[in-house]
Formats: sequence, C-alpha cells, structure tokens
Amino acid sequence: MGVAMSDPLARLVGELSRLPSIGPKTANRLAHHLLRVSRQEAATLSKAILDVKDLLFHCKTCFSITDRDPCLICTDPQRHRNRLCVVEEPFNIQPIERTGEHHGLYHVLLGALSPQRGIGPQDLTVDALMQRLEGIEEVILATNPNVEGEATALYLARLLKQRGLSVSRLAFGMPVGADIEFTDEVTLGRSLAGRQPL
Amino acid sequence: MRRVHTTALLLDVRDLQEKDRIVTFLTVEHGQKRGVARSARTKFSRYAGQLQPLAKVQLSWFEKEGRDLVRLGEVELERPAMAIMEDLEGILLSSYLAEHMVHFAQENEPSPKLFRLLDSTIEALLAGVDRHLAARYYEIWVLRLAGIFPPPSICPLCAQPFPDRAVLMAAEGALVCPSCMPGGWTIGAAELELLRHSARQNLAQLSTRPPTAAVLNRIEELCGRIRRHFLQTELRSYQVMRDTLAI
Ligand SMILES: [Zn+2]
Ligand SMILES: [Zn+2]
Repeated sequence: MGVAMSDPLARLVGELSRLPSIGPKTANRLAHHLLRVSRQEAATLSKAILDVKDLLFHCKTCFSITDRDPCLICTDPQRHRNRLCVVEEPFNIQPIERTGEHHGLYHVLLGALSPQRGIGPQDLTVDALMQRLEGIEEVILATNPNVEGEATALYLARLLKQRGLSVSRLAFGMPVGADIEFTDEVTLGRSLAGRQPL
Repeated sequence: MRRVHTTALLLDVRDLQEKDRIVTFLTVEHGQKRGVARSARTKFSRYAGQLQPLAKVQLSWFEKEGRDLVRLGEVELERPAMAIMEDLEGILLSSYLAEHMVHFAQENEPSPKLFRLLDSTIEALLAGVDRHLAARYYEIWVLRLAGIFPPPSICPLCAQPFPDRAVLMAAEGALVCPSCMPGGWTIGAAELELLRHSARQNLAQLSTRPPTAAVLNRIEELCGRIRRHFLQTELRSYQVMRDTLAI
C-alpha cells in the first residue's frame, strides 16, 4: 500500500476488516468498491445495517431473531406444539426449516457448552428451555456434531429425561453423495455406530 | 520457512473465521504450539475428523521466523481419544486435562515430562482406569512437574516428618506440620500416603490398591487450592465441570 490512505477510507477498511472472515485484502477491495457506488446505494447498505440493530431482537420464548415478540414460528397455529427442536444458534433454524421435516417449535440455546472457553449451562438459555416444557412431548437435540455440541446434547438429554420427555439427537452419518473410500475414519465410525436396520 | 514434523497431542481446536481452525497442541520437542489448519471447516477438508481433542497425531507444520502461529500441514491420526468422550463426564474431564497443559506447558520449550504425563493418562483412561483416580494423579503430577507441589513427607518449617496429618499453608502453597501451624485446612494420613505413592507408582500400580473416593475428593481440593494460588485464577473447564455436573 504505497500511498497513504485518506482517513475515512482507512477507517472503513479498519471497520470492514473487523468482520468475520474478512481479511485486510478483502476489506480493502470492499472499501474501494463502496467508494465507487452511488451515495444512494451506500445509504441503503448503511440503513440495512442499522435496521438489523434497531428492529431485530431475540424472541423471548425461543430466542430466535425476530422483529416481533413472540416470533412468527412461536405464534404459528399450524405448528405441532408438542415437538421442540433445540439448536445452538438462530441461523441453525433456516437449514432445518428447509428440510421440511420438522413441523414443531424451536429453542435457540445461543451457544454450546464449552469447558475450555468457560461457557457453562448458565451462559445458555437452558433455564428458559426448562421453563417452557409444558405440553412438549418430544425434544430433538440438533446441536453440532463436535465436542461442544455433543457435551450440550448429553447435558440436556440428562435434564430432559429427568422430566420424562422423549429425547432424540440428530444422527451422525456420511454426507449424501460421499464415497466410503474418501470418508475419514471418525465420520465412518460414527456412521457405523449409528447404522439403521433395513 | 521451516518445516517441522513431529508427534503431538491436540489440546484445543477452535474455529477461525469462516473456513479455518486454530489448533493448540503439545509436542515433546517444542512444548505448546498453536497452528492454523487452513480450510479445516470446509466440507471435504483433508483434516476432516482428524482434529479431535486429545487425539495423538503425527503432524507437520511450517513456521516463519519470529511468528508464533504456525501453519499446519499434514495431520495423521495415530490414536483417537473419542472413546473417552462418549459421555458427559468424559468430555468434561478431557477438556480439564487439556486445559492444564495450555496453562502449564511453555511455548517453544521442550516438554517431554508433561507430554509423557498427558500421553500416559489418556492411554490409561482409554484402558478403563478409574477416572477419579486418573484425574487426581494427573493434577498432582502437573503441579509436581511445575515445581509447586509441596513435599508430602517433611515439614519445611521444623524439618520433622509429618505425623498423621498436615496443614496447608495457603499463602505459601506449602504443607506444614500441625505443631508449626495448629489451625487450618488439613489433609490426613491416607491423603499423605497417596501423595507419597504417586511419586513412585504409575496409575496402573495405584489402581491395584485404589484410595477411597473420600481421599480422592480431599486430594482434588488440595490440588485445586494449590493450583488456584499459583495461577491466581481457576481453570475455566473446572468451573464448567462443577456447574454442569451439579444436576
Ligand atoms: Zn419464538
Ligand atoms: Zn513443622
């Protein structure tokens, strides 16, 4: 970067490079792109950023991101109110919705147990989950298939079974379209352990 | 750019931005290291399934002069530790063992003893040794190798052998005899005996005459007090373990 950047541009590059997965090069490229777009386009972008801060918040029931409380899923009369799918983050809901396989409610934990990061049950929405179990018969634990997600699922399963609920966990398996030959031993081992009778 | 190839025990794996993971690991020759596993989060990554906590791996890395963070090359799984992590207690214990090394192993300094301690503890846990005993043995040895474990035989103040108990002098992290310090937090004869035996016997030998759970609880408390005094903080995983298992 031979020529020193003028202040507002340097500031924009600085702000952009603080975003996840944006390195200094990408930040520089984005900043120069924004320098070229119309004022109108830039204003639309900055308003969109402010709107998500001003207009969106967590649903007080399920902790998904919403612009109304309770959220659209929590108030949807078509959904099965006896089945609850527990996920780590709000952005985990959409992929599950797209499968069309779950017609019940959701609960977002806002994280996962992580002993080495010091994240324990009280840092998640576990208390709120335990307080909304009336009428729930089945809980599906859709936490991530890593150590944190596994710890969270095992912990919740223990709590929920004490309340007499039916608890299930997403199956671990081979990705659709994968080859056994190229599948790592951990994934393959998990798939064998979770095999289904035919 | 230098390429290094060695055996390592993985201590911690966390996400780095969208595609990568950052891996903390322990080696004999270079102590604790941190490296970036590029694209480890992508679908068909060559690291898929290899970057599991406490796994023993063969790995290579590339390092640039003056940079602490290295770039990981190949990682080959030598001994997975997933079998220890099939239940909640096992996952929590694994994090606790790993976090000790993150705090006690030095970066870029040979750590053969700490490596051997963690390696043999994982091996013993995989072989089914009692977890309570393994965890306490590990705590004692981490503190001993750090040079902060109080000698369990002779009072450092009066040079007399301990009678049937010893008192922890909190401010010094030392065990002293009850004549030198009449009041305070005390351990008894069975705890002192375990401390002495742990210096000479390995886990398998200790398992043949296992101490009672009450003795192990007391040792856990002793190690916790000495560790907290030394680190001036508690290991995060210890606190989470307490909170999570309190149900
Ligand atoms: Zn909601
Ligand atoms: Zn004395």
